[in-house]
Amino acid sequence: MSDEAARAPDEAAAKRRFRGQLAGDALVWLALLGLLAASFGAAFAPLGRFTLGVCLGLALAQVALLGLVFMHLRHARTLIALTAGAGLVFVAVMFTFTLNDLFTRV
Amino acid sequence: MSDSAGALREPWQTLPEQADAATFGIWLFIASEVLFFAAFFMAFAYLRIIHPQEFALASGRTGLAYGTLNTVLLLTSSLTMTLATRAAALDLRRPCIGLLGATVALGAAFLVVKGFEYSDDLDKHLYPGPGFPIPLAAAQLFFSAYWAITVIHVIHLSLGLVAVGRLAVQVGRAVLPLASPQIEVTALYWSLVDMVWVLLYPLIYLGGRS
Repeated sequence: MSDEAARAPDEAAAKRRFRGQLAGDALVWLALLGLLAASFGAAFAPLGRFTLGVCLGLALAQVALLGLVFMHLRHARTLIALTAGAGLVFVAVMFTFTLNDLFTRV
Repeated sequence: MSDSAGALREPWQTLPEQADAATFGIWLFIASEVLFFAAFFMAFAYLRIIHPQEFALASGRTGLAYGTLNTVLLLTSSLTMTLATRAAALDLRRPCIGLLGATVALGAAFLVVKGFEYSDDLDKHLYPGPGFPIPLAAAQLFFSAYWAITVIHVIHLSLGLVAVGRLAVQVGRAVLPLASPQIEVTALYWSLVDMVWVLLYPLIYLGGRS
């Protein structure tokens, strides 16, 4: 059997697997667009001072989807999860202590 | 063509070891980038809390249609880039080339739309200095933050575009093996650029609309 012939069933299996992954990722993409549409709608809704919070919450949901699925954090090794988490912890420290200062002045 | 041996670089003995190290390296870089952008977000939040009315007024003047279209383009490019990595992992060269090409096209479309938006902003004098159209000084702070953050984002996106374009050419010419960790690493960087934009979108464009 030539190499070409031996490869054919592998390639067909790979293509099937790819189509399955494509369907899953396309669903995530639709969810991302749905969240974007919700955020756009929320900006025009009479939510008063909660508008930005709602829109930012929807943006954070998009970021979570991008990170967990498209950046594979869902299945990441502990080392990678810790590295990504460390960045967020440092950001949280900066925001918490800067805003602590601000909110006790204004 | 499954030439994983060509993807192996010194000092690693095996491709999985090299891929692990490359993924760890890019995540360290991403964590540092998160801190870099967070400094801008922090400054923006601080100014917005002090000047809520001025920021809402200024935000209402931004090009919402451009910003929304660009968000759709970038979210779609993250899909095509992720699928390119999946195709590469399954050794499917042709879909991988097509998806890398689509990512480049979507990223370039983002830059074109951003160019039109910047041109509109300049026509409307939406930059700090004499002739600024909003008669509240602090509204200029919004636009100084807007220009700084979006230009830095454009620089990041342009670098990503070069990296993805290079991959498309190298994979197309079969110079780069599909097993190379460069594809995954570039995709992670591309998603970071998308993530930053997703967070910028509500801050820049959605204020002052209701």
